This record gives sequence, structure tokens and C-alpha cells, in this order.
Amino acid sequence: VEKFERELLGLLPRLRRFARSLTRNAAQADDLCQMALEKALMRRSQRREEARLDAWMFMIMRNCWIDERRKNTRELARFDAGVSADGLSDTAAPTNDPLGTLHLHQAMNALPDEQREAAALVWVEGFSYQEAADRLEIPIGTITSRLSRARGRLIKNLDGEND
Amino acid sequence: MAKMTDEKVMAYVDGELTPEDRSALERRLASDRQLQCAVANERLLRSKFAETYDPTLAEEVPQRLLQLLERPNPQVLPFRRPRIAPAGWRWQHLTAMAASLALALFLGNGLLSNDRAAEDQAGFRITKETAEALNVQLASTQSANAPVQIGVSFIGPEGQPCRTFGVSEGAGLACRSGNEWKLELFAPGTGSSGTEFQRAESGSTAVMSKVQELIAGEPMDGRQERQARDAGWPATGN
Repeated sequence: VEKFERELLGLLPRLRRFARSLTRNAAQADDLCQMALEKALMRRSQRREEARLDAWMFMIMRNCWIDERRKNTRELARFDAGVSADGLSDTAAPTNDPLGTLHLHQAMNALPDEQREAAALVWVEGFSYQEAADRLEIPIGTITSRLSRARGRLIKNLDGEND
Repeated sequence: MAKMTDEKVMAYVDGELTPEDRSALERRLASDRQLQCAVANERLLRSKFAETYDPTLAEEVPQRLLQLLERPNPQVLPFRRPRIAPAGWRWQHLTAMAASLALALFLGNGLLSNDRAAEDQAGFRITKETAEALNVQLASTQSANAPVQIGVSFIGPEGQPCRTFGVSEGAGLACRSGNEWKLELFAPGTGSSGTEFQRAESGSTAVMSKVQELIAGEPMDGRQERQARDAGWPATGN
């Protein structure tokens, strides 16, 4: 049983990264992590031993995220009100292109949920198209077309801001 | 020749093309400037993802998340906690941790005496695998299953970087000496039932007291650890 907590501890940095790509800012991302961890601790008995812990955990987080998106529009409005750059500016490591990374995050914020989750699983967390499709229980062709639409929008938004 | 679709280019960069499609695309890539640009742009987008989100991996994990997973239990150490020094880090944390480890070792495996640790130290040598982990592995991003688990990184009395580590045989402390890691101390675990504790590297009492003896200032945080690694573990202050 302790092994479970230990493995989750090891996953925490990646969970936080995934949450960051799904939410608007760092505080919101850690709220999402907390929710997902609490749920995972409650549901540990439902996990099949052979299932990959990371994939299982990412899906718990993704479902928490979807639930929140659906039920709590008022909260979201509150989050949205505080958008701007502040969530990122204090957490993003210095890069040569701070504007570019901020813009990508803003462009991610503008994606429809189903494109954003596909982008987060594949381009942030490195899942293969097939793995992402399996986890989301959709055909691989659907993942491919969501990713394709997501990249189109991201590139368009990034280009727009560079002009 | 038909234009390669954006979707093909995307799948190519993601490593998702079939081997046949992949070689077809690569044959064209040599001469098709438009395709070269498309691939470069696609790669640029991937690198923006890495730049935007990967820094999260090196951040200190907030206490409220750690606390969810670290329950008081004398059999198990919150061994990851000291890897990245929390804000407001104090010696008391280490001492408390060392005490709980001592208890855990005692309860789980019988007493590990300092004498025994000293005796066995000569028997342990830094293997290639351990040296590689000391060179490149970051406490903040390492896998929980990695055979070598890095603990605390800090600057020693002569400005040399030092790191604690855990391996299946026990816990150790190594400091940079020239271009190598020199073993300062090794405290062996106590054998077969030791799996719960073998990774409690930075907590081993003997290792912890050695850290206390050598450390100048505070342990490195995630960013400092990464910077030191990227710079090749240079000595400071000389």
C-alpha cells in the first residue's frame, strides 16, 4: 500500500506539468492536482495492478478537469477573471523566448477542451496517439484529427501574435 | 507530386507514421524545401511545448500536495521530501527525518549501527551506473523506479558539489573531486527485507550526520540542482 503513495510521489512533477497544460495558471493547476490525488487515494482499490499508474492517474485528473469545467462555471469565471500572465510569470523557468512560451499557453487556453486534452496528452506528456486514444476511449483517427485541428489553431494563434 | 498534408507532417514529427510513409516522406524531404519548412515549423511547435511546460518538472512541489501522500507511518519514510529543499528549510527537518529513519530501520530491519556502516564502507564502490546517475539525474524528475535514487545536493566545505544517493545496497554520499565522484560515506542497508528502506538514501542517520558535517549553506533547490548539473558540477567559490 505504501508503494502506491511512493509511486504517486514520483509522478507528482509530471502530474503538475499535465495540470499546468490543462488549466489557466499555477494555482488552478495545483488545485486540480490536489483533487485528482484525493480521488486517486480513494479509488486505489479500483486500480488494476497491471494498468500503468501514470495513464490511470492522468485520466483521473482529466476527468476531474472535465467535471470542474462542466459543473463549476462560476468558479471558472472567477479563474478567467484573473487570467492575464500572473499564473505563468512566477512559475515558468527563464527561457530564451518567454513571450513565445506564454503565447503557447494562451493559445492552449483558447482550444476547445477535446483538442486541448489531446494536445496535453500527446505533446506535453508524450503519449502515443494510440495510448491517448485508448485512454480517452475514442478511435485513433479521432485523436489524429483533434490533434491536427489543435495544431492548426495553435499555429494560427501563435502567428497572429507574432505579427 | 502531391503536397504532403499537414497531418502527415504532424504524424511524422510525432513518430507516428508507418515505416513506409516515413521513408517516403524522408525521401522527399531531401529536395522539397516547402516540406523542410513544414517539418521545421512543426518541430518548433513541439519545442514550444517543452519550453512552456517542462520547467514545471523542476519546480518545488507544494507542501499541500506532498502532505496528501506522506502519512505518518514509522515503517515508511517520506523519502522524496528532502530532495528539493522546501522553502524555509531548516536543520530540524533533517534531524526529525533522520530520527524517523533510524526508527524505521530499527523496527523493520534491526539496528544499523554506525560501526557497521563504517566497517562496510570500503566494500562499496561507485559503479558506472551510480556515477552516471550522480552526473545527470535530478531529484525533481527522476523516476521512482530508477535503480539509483538521488537525494539531497549541496555544496561542501571546499566549494565542491556533493549529493546523497540510495541504491539497493544502502545509502551513500559522494562529493565531486576533479572530474569524478568520490565516495565520502556509504551506509549499507540491512539485507533482504530492506526494500522499503533501501531508497531512504538521504535519511540514513550516518549519511545525514555526514551531510550536516560537510554542508556549507543550504541544500540546492530544484533549479540550483539543474543549473549545477547542466554546468557539469563545477566547484564554486574558487
